[in-house]
Amino acid sequence: MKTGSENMVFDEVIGNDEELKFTKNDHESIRDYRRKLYENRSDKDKVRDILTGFRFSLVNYVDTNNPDQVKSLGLFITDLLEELNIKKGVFAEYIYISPRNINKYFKGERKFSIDHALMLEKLFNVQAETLLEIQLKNELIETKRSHEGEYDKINLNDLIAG
Amino acid sequence: MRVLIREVKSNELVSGLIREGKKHELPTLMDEWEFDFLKKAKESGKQVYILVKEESQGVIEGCMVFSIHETLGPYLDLLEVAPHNKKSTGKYKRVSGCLIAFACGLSLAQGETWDKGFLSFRAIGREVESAETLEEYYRERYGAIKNFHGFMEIHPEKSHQLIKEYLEKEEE
Repeated sequence: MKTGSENMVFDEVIGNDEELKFTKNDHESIRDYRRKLYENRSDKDKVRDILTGFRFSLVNYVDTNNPDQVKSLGLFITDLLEELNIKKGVFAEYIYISPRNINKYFKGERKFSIDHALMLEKLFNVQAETLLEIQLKNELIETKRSHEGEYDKINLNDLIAG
Repeated sequence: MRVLIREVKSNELVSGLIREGKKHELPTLMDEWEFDFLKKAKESGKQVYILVKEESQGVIEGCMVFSIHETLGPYLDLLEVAPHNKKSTGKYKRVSGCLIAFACGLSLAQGETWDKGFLSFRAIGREVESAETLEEYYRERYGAIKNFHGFMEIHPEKSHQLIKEYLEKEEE
């Protein structure tokens, strides 16, 4: 960077309010260019892109206070399997879950165990803690919502007063 | 998502948070910002994110608008650091970097197959010559390249690097 351009570090502004307009030809040439770039990426890189996106979504969800929509770990995994083109039944058997039961996990009716989380950590390169944290976070949200106000009466002074 | 920004005065990293901005808290021209984020948030398909410090979540340090465009794919519509973070008196650094890396993460998470990891944007300054300076800056700082339609583009490899640098790095 040029000497004396330090102020640019602070003066960062991107974009404007003008509407984006493309002709049909512009649209097609940009899409074609993007497709070619994608095709030149290795299969390993394509999987890496998907897994990084998956990890980003999980961590962002964990770090979000009171998300507008509760999303089960199973739903995150369903989306991932679809992107990786892995059949749910094959995935179920690979992590020793009966294919007949796997939908219960995807719907959030059953929880993935610590053992499952460790297998998923190895498969998808995402920390087991993050996976388990999503289940715990969702459980907390649901419990708070279904018992609204119930915990307000809990008070340490009352406990001390006996 | 938790991030680290640098306080200029102490040169220390402080904890920040990038989260979806609620309409009532979005910056407008009235707040001395250059962009009206509230107005932009009302357009269809626009996702507006703000960066705040964990210890003072009522003060916005930076703001950005992300969308999936039918031609460009993942698109950074607008990004601006807060007025108090601009110029030599700016209080915090790394705000833009964190927001851009976050947009790269959104691209990898939400982009369609061909577009995953790409992020397009327009580098526009206050004057024509400043656009070129900004382009050079974004090229050097974030590895963005100008495509044949005049848009700046961050490609997947660079997106991975920015995510690692700004969103995964514990400390420098």
